[in-house]
Amino acid sequence: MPAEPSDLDPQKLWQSQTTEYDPMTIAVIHEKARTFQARIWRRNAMEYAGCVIAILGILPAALHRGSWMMQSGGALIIIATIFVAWQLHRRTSGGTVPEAGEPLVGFYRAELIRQRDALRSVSVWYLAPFVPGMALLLLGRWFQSHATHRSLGTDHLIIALVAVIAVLVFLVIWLLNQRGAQSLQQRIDEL
Amino acid sequence: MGGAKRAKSEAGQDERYARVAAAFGAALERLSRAYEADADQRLDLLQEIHFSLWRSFAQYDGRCSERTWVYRVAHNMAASHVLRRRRSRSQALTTLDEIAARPDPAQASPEAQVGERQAFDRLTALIQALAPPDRQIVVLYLEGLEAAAIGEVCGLTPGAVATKIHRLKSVLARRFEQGGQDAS
Repeated sequence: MPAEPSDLDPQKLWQSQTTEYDPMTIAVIHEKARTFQARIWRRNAMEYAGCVIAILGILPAALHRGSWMMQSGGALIIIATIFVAWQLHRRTSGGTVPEAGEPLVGFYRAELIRQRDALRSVSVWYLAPFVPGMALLLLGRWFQSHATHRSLGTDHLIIALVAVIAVLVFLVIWLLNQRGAQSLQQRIDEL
Repeated sequence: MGGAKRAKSEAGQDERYARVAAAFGAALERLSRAYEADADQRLDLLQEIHFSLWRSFAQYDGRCSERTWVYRVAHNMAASHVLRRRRSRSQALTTLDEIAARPDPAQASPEAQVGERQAFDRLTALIQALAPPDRQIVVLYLEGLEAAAIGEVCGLTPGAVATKIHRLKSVLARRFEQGGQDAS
């Protein structure tokens, strides 16, 4: 016979749950610690690999002999890639950790603020570093390096189109991040 | 010398974790149920909590009681899990105040009979809809902690906790004691 609702004590109800899992043994915990270290190593390796691939992709532009603008632009993009990779690493691995034993209100607030600030300042640490390099690269293509297999007009049209797409992509990234920051701010205000 | 000291410290960490896992294992499992509805994800979360606890004991300095420490680390880990999961799925979380102000969706069914299983499911659904700060208070209350102890874990005054618990009790009373008749 089901219990009468008025008989239900929420605390008793909650504590009467049956357990499904045994606590992890020390051996399993140690194994998990090794896996955790390996995962951090893998994550760092992936970040460095991504960075190297991006640099290799831009290297031909940095080595372009006919255009100092493209060379400088390529070099600046390589510097920007390294800077952004460092920022990403710093911002994702820093901050409060659950293991510090801080009270939840402080921990949760700090975590939301950290995420909000990262999103809010995305134009500074993620987008802006690429602007000088990309601008120089496009200017170099426009003034100093033309594709030989198409007319100058078509080449300029393509460069202008690429510039417009780049600006639009930057704008969308910025807008999405600002929206995310606003939503986080609302949650911070609710605390 | 340093290696022997580290080994001794790790042994202490292991010993403390084993003791805590035995004492709080069931409570931590219930906690993971409060934060994750999906069974597979729940097991992952539970393991993450246990692992975080073990790691945390490397820096436990006795600044608070062991029980307070365990709940802080476990709830912080679970709150991180909620933040991570919210990035991958859109799930609106709410507060106790908002829940108190709106009708219980399960009450709409006229044939609803609040048996123990159903009451438990509704309690769990209510908890899982809450934002982490309120969820922590509710779970700790359900675990039987006093307002002062909850305040120490959460970083709130006992008065603020008592207000929240009062609100929770009125929500639960409305949902459990009035059966299917309260649809307002």
